[in-house]
Parts: sequence; structure tokens; C-alpha cells
Amino acid sequence: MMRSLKLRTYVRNSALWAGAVYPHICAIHGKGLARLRDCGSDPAGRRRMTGMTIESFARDLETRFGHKFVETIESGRVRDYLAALDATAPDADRPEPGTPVPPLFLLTLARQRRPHLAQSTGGGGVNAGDTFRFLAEARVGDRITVTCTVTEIVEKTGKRDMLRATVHFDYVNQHGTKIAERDNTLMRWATA
Amino acid sequence: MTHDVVPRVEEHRGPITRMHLVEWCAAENDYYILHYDERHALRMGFQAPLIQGTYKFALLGQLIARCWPEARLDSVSIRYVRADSEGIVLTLSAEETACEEGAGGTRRILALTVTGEDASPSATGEATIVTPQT
Repeated sequence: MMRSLKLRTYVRNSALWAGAVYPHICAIHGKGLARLRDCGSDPAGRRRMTGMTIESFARDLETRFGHKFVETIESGRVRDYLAALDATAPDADRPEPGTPVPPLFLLTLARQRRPHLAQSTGGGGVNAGDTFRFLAEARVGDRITVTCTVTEIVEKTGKRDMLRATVHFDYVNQHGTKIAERDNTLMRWATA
Repeated sequence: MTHDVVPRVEEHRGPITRMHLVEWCAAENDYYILHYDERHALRMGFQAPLIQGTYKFALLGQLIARCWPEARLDSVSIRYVRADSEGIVLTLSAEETACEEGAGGTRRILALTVTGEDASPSATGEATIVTPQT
């Protein structure tokens, strides 16, 4: 009862709150970070990892993924993707509009981190895993809308305390056809 | 009906240098600093910039496309077990573990691995590919 009461209070005060987790699960549902569920308070109060909190991680994710991305599959980007994988020569002709693109080209959509901008609120982070399901082909010239949803943030305790987030991506083309979906798992930890 | 599985296919890529990592940053439009800045890598507890997991994933995708050119990729997953630092040679493999005929064609399950310097894989995954009936 107390946990629920605290949760409602936190949700009312801040949809992004996630500083205390018990039993180490904080699932975030809905578009963006609108609602929290299954969160409770740690007996010791709001739990924080040095230099990073679940809240700051959630805020990072909101900045990176909390909106729709609309991108056109440009032939030059497809050529560069293949060249980076040594699958084609860097000076190869660009693929013609309508040419099917490698399914994992979708990895390049909804990405925007630049070298000159602050990339996070601190801590270390890596990609932990990916799952794709492909429903239809993507082609050069397609206009893809990518909708991202943070589906879960979980605190992992152990030798190194970490946070694990899962972000779900839906890819829809200009005809309104869903062509793929992806679940991407990210790990984040505090640094000294 | 179940078919005999095909032999394991394997290829080596590398050494993967900083140039590969930066080129991949450009290709995937994500310049995460861990992949080209040594100081940042050290701060995160690594000895050197790391090879992007998505790069290893995309290389596996190309391996599948080359070895099963008629097949459509239905689904694919990968789990990054351990980080690989720049400078190493990656060994990519795909092995057919199951094959069955269905209404839409031949469906194959592939076990995927990426191995870096250690003997154990740094990434493991699974793909399902479908070859249409001719």
C-alpha cells in the first residue's frame, strides 16, 4: 500500500521519477516516458548510483528516443552502409530508387548522436542486444517513420551496479505498412 | 520434412582499426564517443575504443546475405556478451541448426557467433531465413 501510494505521488510529481526501485524493476510503458508501473521504494530511500540515477538514464533515453523520426532511405546512405561493411566499393554507383536495402540497414535509422554534443548525463554505456522482426522490404527512396518506446528499465545489482533498458522500435513506410520492429537493449553504469 | 543442415560458414574480418569504427559511426549516423576516443573508453573502464556491436551485427547480416542469397531474412537477434576492442580480427560464423519446409518455402534457423581474441564468442545470436519455393 505504501509503495503504491508513494508511486502515485511520484508519478503525479514527475513522470520521469525512477530513483528508487524495489524489487529492482521499473517498467516504463506507453509512448515516451508517460507512465511508470511496478515501481516502489527501496527501504533505504531513493537509491542512487554514483554519478547516475535511473531518472537521469530515463531522461537520456527520452532525449534520444522520445519522439518520432521520419527519414528517407537515401541511396548515398545505402552505398556508404555497404562500403563500411566492405560489401561494395566506396565509389560504386548509388543504388537506384526502389532497390531493396539490406534488412539491417534499419539499424542506421533513428540515430542522431553527434561527436560535438554532450552524449549523456554521465556514466558508461554499451549496447547489450538487438532483436529484429522483418515484415516487408525496405527500399531506396522509402520514407520511414520510426516510433521508439522505452518499454523497461531494470536495475541490475552485482559486482558492478548497472541499469538495463529496452527500447522498442516500430518502422512504418510511406504507405502506412509496418515493415519491421526492433527491441534494443542498452546497459548503463556509473563511472568513478 | 527435415533436410540435412549445411556446413558451418565462417569468415574473418580485420584487424578492425579505428578507421573502421569511425566509418561505421558515419554509416550508422551515430558518433558515440566510446568508439573513437581513448580517454573516454578509459573512463568507462575499457582499455581501448570498442568495436560497435551494431557493426558486428551488420557484418553477420552481410554474411547471411552472401551465403543464402535467395533467402529472405525473417528475424534476427543478437546478444553482445563481451566487448571487443579495436585492433583485433573478428571471426563471424553462421551455422544452420534446423530446416523445415512450410507453406511459404524452406525455413532455416541459423546460429550466429562473433568471436574476438578469446575462444569464447563475444556475441551470439540467431536468425530465421526463408527461401521461397521455386
